Amino acid sequence: MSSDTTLQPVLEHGWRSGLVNLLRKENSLWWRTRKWWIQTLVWLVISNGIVAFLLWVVPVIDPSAGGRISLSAVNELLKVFLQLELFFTTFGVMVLSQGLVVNEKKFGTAAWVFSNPVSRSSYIFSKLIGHGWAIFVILVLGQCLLAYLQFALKAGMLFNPIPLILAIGVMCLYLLFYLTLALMLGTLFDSTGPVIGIPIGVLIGMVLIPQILGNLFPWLVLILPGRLTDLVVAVGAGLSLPANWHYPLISTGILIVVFITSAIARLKREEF
Amino acid sequence: MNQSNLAIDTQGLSKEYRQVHALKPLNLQVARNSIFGFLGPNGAGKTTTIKLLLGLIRPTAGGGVVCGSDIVHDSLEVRRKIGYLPQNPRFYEHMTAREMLRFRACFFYRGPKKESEQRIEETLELVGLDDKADRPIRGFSGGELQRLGIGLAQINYPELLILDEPAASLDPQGRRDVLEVMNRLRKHTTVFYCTHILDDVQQVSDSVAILNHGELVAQAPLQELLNGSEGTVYHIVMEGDVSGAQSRLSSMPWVSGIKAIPSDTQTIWQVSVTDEATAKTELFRKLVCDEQVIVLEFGKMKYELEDVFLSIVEGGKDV
Repeated sequence: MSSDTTLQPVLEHGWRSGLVNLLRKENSLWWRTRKWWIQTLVWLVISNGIVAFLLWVVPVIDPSAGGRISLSAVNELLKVFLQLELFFTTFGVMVLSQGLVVNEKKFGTAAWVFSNPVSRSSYIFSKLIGHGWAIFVILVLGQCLLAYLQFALKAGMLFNPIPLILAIGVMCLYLLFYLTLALMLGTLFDSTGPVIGIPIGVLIGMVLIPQILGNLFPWLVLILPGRLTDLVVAVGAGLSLPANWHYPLISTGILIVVFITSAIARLKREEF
Repeated sequence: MNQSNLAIDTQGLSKEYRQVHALKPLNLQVARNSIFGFLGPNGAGKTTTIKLLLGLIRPTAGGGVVCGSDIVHDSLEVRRKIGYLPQNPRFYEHMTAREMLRFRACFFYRGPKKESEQRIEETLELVGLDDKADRPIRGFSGGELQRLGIGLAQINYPELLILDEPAASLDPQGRRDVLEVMNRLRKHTTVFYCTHILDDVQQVSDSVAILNHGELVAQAPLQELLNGSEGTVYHIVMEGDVSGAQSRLSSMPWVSGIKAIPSDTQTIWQVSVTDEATAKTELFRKLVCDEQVIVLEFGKMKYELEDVFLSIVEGGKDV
């Protein structure tokens, strides 16, 4: 053991203690293991496989559907793509985030991590940023970019990407809702059952609530995060925006903040 | 003892779970640069104490200072100064030993890569994992995990090493290795460790505390504890007619008692003395001057830690 050292102590204090190192670890879970290319492959097949089938395989089977497609057809196909992408990635986020906190609590690694100079908020933020970024790049950005290139190739021109970029932004907010919900539930429960079950219930609830309670609480319907799915499709496919489109944006943003705050508060009370 | 000389100083530290006392008010003092054995039967409150020191659980009452920082209000600072090996070490299994060491090291220091890698290499050698450094942890045996845990705990060169049952799941060779590592670390740091392997404690510890049912029942330097609480006692084995020697010794003012241990062929005495200095010079002479007596063994009575531990834990009686 040598005490002559040029190594400097890490100066992270308060809520940021340990954040950079934890974030590096969460990133390495995705980018320094096989996980990134397995997930990329899976989502390539799920999201872009359908687009590729519609654009390139169907014309081979039915030559009358071949040739270049018009801009309106691109928008129609983009609409289908965005609906499918939203549907699959929502479940993808639920599955990928179910064990982020619970498994570490159960396995005992969380207790070991907190025996280091690590704040509870750093722990939550590292999970949120590390996994949120990987989900964004692999499940959303990569797939949307590839779909855009497929459409552009089929249409024979580069169409305006701004609506798609805006749709990606709204989609990210929607997926962040489920990611932060899973993180919060992970701090509240000790098994993965409720952590995946409750978000599925929330998803189904947001489909049923407008039908069951729509007349009684019309304001509730307006602020449901589930309405973001309509907004994604409308923005991406260049359709007219739903009425009061900004309401679910605001409510979802607030819920995300509430989930993160609750997760940190709960974790601060947790005893290991 | 001055607080700056203490690595751990708790005052009335206690923990209650639904009106069950996991730890009754604990006043514990651990000197810096010592190896301190924290003993007790299962469920005595040892791990609870460690978790309280680490800030993993909150005390119901009382508090403490670890390496100069308050365990309740300055827990992050406490954790900057310590290294901890949990009872059942669980680390990120997808990582290799080297990656795990690098991960923990990065919580504490940054700087030239060459130097930090050298420190990691040193640690791998210290715990004997240099040949397995680049294998994923998921394939490690219990002993290898334990050694990695010790390496991880000391990678930041902590002021205080807290080891919870460091040798529990190890074979005799693994235990010996761990004790060796602890001995090597002695000059750099304070080692506070829980165990119920009393042989190990007797080999390496300077001081010992015994916890029973969440209550501190003994705390003393190891030698003091092994000397017993009856003062100095001499253990003597003899042959021949000892009746004369017995009456001669009994009349000495510095002899407080002679306890004869039944034996078929020999006479075994435990002689308690009140004046150690006089006993040291006089006792042996008083025996050998008697021609009827042949002294086969003579020495101060030594207790095994196991005797001390069992007598305290089981009967609450003194040895």
